[in-house]
This record gives sequence, C-alpha cells and structure tokens, in this order.
Amino acid sequence: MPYCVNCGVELSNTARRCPLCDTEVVLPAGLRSPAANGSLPQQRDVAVSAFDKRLWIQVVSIVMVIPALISVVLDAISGDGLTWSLYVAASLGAVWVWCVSPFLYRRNIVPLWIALDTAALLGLLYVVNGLPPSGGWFVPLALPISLGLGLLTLLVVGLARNRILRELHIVAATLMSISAFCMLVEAVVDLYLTGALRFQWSLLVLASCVPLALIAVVLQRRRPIVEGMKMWLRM
Amino acid sequence: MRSGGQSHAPAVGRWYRLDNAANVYPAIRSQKRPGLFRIAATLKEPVQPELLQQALDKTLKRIPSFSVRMRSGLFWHYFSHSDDRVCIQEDVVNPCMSLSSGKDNGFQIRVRHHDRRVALEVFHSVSDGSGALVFLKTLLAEYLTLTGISVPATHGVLDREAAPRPAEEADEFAAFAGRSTPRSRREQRAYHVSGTRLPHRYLTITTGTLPVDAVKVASQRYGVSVTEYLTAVYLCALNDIQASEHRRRARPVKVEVPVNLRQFHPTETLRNFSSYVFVGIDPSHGDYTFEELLSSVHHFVRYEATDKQLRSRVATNIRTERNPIVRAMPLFIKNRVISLGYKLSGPALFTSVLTNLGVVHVPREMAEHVEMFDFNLGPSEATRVDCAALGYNGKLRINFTRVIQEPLVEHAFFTFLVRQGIPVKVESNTE
Repeated sequence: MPYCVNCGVELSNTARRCPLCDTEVVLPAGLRSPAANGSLPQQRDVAVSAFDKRLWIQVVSIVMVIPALISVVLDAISGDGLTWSLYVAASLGAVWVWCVSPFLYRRNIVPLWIALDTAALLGLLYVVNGLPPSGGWFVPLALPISLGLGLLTLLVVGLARNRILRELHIVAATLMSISAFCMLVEAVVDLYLTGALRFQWSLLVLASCVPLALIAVVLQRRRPIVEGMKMWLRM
Repeated sequence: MRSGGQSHAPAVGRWYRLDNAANVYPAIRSQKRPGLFRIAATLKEPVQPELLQQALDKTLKRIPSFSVRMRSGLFWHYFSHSDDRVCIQEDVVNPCMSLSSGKDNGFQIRVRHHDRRVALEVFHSVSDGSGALVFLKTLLAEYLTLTGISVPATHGVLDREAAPRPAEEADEFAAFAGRSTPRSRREQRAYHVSGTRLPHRYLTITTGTLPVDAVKVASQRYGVSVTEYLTAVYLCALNDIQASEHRRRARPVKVEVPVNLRQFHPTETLRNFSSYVFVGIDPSHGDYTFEELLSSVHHFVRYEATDKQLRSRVATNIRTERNPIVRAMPLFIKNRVISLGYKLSGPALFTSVLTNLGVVHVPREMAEHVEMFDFNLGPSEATRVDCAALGYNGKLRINFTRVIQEPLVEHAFFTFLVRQGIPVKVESNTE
C-alpha cells in the first residue's frame, strides 16, 4: 500500500504520482497493480459545441477589413475621390455585421442581433441609394421593407425561442410571416410606383401559405405525427 | 413540487412549476456552470446494464418528478413530464458536464454506469442531494431486486409498488418560510482561489477516504460536529492559500454550507428543500489559530443554521419570487435579471462550497451489495474548487471538483487532516 513521502497520504496501488503534490510513487517491482485504474471510465464527455467565437470574429474581421481598405485606398488614389469603394466598404461592413452579430455576446441575445442585422441592411441600402440620399427609393421602399422583414423575423424567432410557438406552430407562423411580408412588399411598391394599393401576386402567396399553415396547426395536435416527424428529421 | 396539472392525474401531460430554489438554475446555467451534481454507488459486482435500464424505467414511474424536460413559459420555466425512456449511459471521466438535448434527450437527469458503479447526475432544479439520494437508493433497490436480491422499502428506499405521493412532489419553501421576515442579502465579496484554467470540459476530481470514527474523535475533541470540523479545516486551507499569494488586501474567506431543511420542517418532498449558510473569516482581522477558527465556525453555524434564521433566509427568496414586477417580467428578461443578480449575490460572495450529505443509511440487504457511495458537485467556473462529502460504511468520502490545474486546496485540506492524525487515502480521476 503506497504512501506519498511528501504529503503522508495513502495512495492507490495504481498511482504513479501523488495527485496532491505530483511526487513520484516508487514501488518495488510487482507491488504495483498491472492494469490502470479499472474503476475509472476512459470515455470523455465531449463538448457539444466547440465553436471558437473569438477566432470566428477575428477571421471574419480580417477577411472583410483588408479588401475594404484596399478598395478605399485604390479609389482614393485614382483621383476622383471616394466613389465606388464606398459601396464595397458598405457591402463588406454589412456582411461583417451579419456574420459576427450572433457571436458578439456570450449569451445569444436574439433581438439584439436581429436589430443589428436589420440596421446593417438599412445602412447598405442607404449607401447604395447614393450618398447623400437624393430623395430616391430609400425612404419609401427600402426602409419599410427592411423594417418589416426585421420585425417579422423578430416576432417569429422570439415566439419560438420562448417556446410560445413550438414545432409545427413555428412552421405555420413562418408561412404566415412570409405572406405578410409579401403583402407588405407589394403594398409599398404599389404606393411608390402608382400611389394606389392593388394586391395581386401577394394574394397568390397568401392563398398558398394559409392552407399550408392551417395543415401545420392541425397536424400539431396529432402528437404521434409530430413525434414521427421529429424522429424522421432529426440529424 | 407544485403541480400545474391535477395532482392525481395520469403522469402523461403533467407539468410542474419549478420550486423556489430551482428557478435560479435555468437562468444561470451554461457550459461552464452546468448546475449538476452527482451521487454514485459502487457495487460489489459488475453492473448489468439491461437490468439497470429496467430498474430505471420502473423507478421513474415511481418517482415521476425526475422524468421531466425543462420548458420555457412566457414568464417562468416549467417542467413537463415525459414517459419517454431515460436511457442509461456509459460513465465518463469528466462527469456533471452540461446536459445535451440530443444525448440526454432533454431530460434533466443522467444515469451512468461503469464496471461496478452506478451514478446519478441531477440538474439542481430537479432535486437536492437528499432527494437525489432517495432516488438512487430506490433505483439500486429495484436493480438488486431484479438480480434476485430482495430489498425492503426502509432507510430512505421508497416502496416501488406504491403510487407516487403528492407530498413527494411538494414545494415546501413557502410553507417553511411562513410569515418570517425576509433578511438582507448583503455580504462582503469573498476571496476566490486562482489557478491555471483546465481546458473546457475538463475537470479533476480528487477523492479522499477517511475513517469516519477518526474524524468523529477529532471533532469531538474540539466539541464540534463533523461538518463544523470539516468546514474549519476547509477554511484553514483556503485561508493559507490566500496568505501564500501575498495579496495586498486579503478578502474574507467564506464557505457556503448547504443546510438540509428537512431537519427543521419534516417533509416527504424529493424536490429541492435546502438552504445554506455562509461560514467564513476575515483575515484582515488578524491571524487565526485553528482553535479560534473552529470556535468561530461552531458558534456561527449554531447561530445561523437555526430554524428562525433559515426561515428568514428562505422568506427573502419567496419575497423575490412573489414580487409583482418579477412575476410580470417576460422570461427572457427575467433570465437576464436572475443571471445578473446571481453574479452580484452568488459565488462572488463565497470562496467555495462544502456540502456534507451526512451518513448514508441503507437497508442491510442493500448494504451487503454496495461497497461505497460518492457525492460530487459539478464544475463551477466561479469558485473553481468545490467540495462534497458523505459517509458510508465507516468511511468518509470527500470529493473535490476542480477546474484549475493546481491541486492547492486538496493538498492543503488533506495534509492538514494527516497532521491532525487522521489517515487519508487519496485518489484522482487523472491517475
């Protein structure tokens, strides 16, 4: 029965070093148990997600910032001031926000990253519309459509994450959100082009989505079907 | 546990409110703070996995409050009961890691086995150490029955043929608090052990085995209980470590000692029903001899771990839970508020946890087939080292769970006991 000569504690027959002070355990040949500690499992509980958020942010930042800087420098030395490079920089900035926003905080604050994504989209469209905006399509078109998209996404994701909507109810809510978004787009475009509301193609989308959403709601009540689908679709 | 459905309704479709203590864990759990603890039993014969699975199936029918999945409501988390099978798993070298929705199928417990060992890992919202021990004993009794050894329903083993009793699922906190006046949560921030962080999902468990009699003799020599004696040794070890760091300003060294409320308020509940006391010293007041430290711990515990003081502490939590603003807060905001509150008034206020489950008693028929029990706390990023102990069959098993490389605390703790004349056998999961 081995003891640590430093700590004075008894050790197991399989110990090669003291767990407390790392002093080597010297045993006469034959006294040490031949096998490693059989009562200890060898298997390790592996990480569910080993995604390195910080590394991801660094890589994305480098990949986005370098081309943006090169574009700005090339555009500046061409002599006509900054023109096309602003579009490149704005596009890369928007992509950077979309890629990085979910990982900026330790806990996923979904409303925050959806808001950031929407803001990035609006920023990009604002730049594309021309700097400064020349009373073009940004305010009447891009602003309501982008905000509508952001709010509808926020609504569905928020309800799903808080388990107010579950399983096929999420599918139904997504379908209804798609139809609502299409109607919004058509309404905004109609008002911009003709000044009058006249729903046409969005009604076709609505007519397709509503029956599918109703089917999803009905199926949600049939637990065996839902469980079967979950089992079938599980990756 | 307060049941959201009818108390005597069939288990399928039932849902449960989380008890008062349980509400905090879902809000603060993360990969680095999984909120699990573990009780394991080592049998004298290798475990037969098929029989263990059958025993688990039957035990979960008897104790349905362990067969639950965590759900999020608009305002609070809740448990939904499920009759799906909780599958046993092979044991691992790094237990108590966070529950996975895939491998654990959303359940809040795990039953693991390896060689002769059966281990139960429980998310703290489901139960506390005492409740989990009853579950494990009942599981072992059913397992042994399936192997042909009849075990009676005594010594904390539930009658497996009886129906679940509502009292076993009761949330007793509000009844215990009664009309007691809430107390302040204000505490000084405590010292925390520093060290080199182990890689994510690695943890070291160091187990010390001591003769219960020797520890009893040592504690009786000073006129204190075993828990008080161990707490004093732990504080002494932590205090020495802080002193060796030569900090400019020493912080208070405080240990959180859970207290089983069942001794003050008899109940059959298998849910959480424990509170805690912070026992500590402030090194800025001067050097403490061990005798001074023991005396301080003894009198502090005798003052704090009393019916009145604990009722008042529980009443504080009940008041928070019943606060109209807290109740009306949507869950996603509430989670952040609880998480922030925990950061300010949780582990920041104590150096480590020392929990002593006491002596485990089992029926004689079971004792003949169970070699030992072990109790472990899960990893904690904040405290870095925690300690859990229980006694069984004349041996006291003290398990340190650590997420830093340096075994400073265990070294100081166990070598102190050796110097006190108590023989200690040390093992580790890194051997």
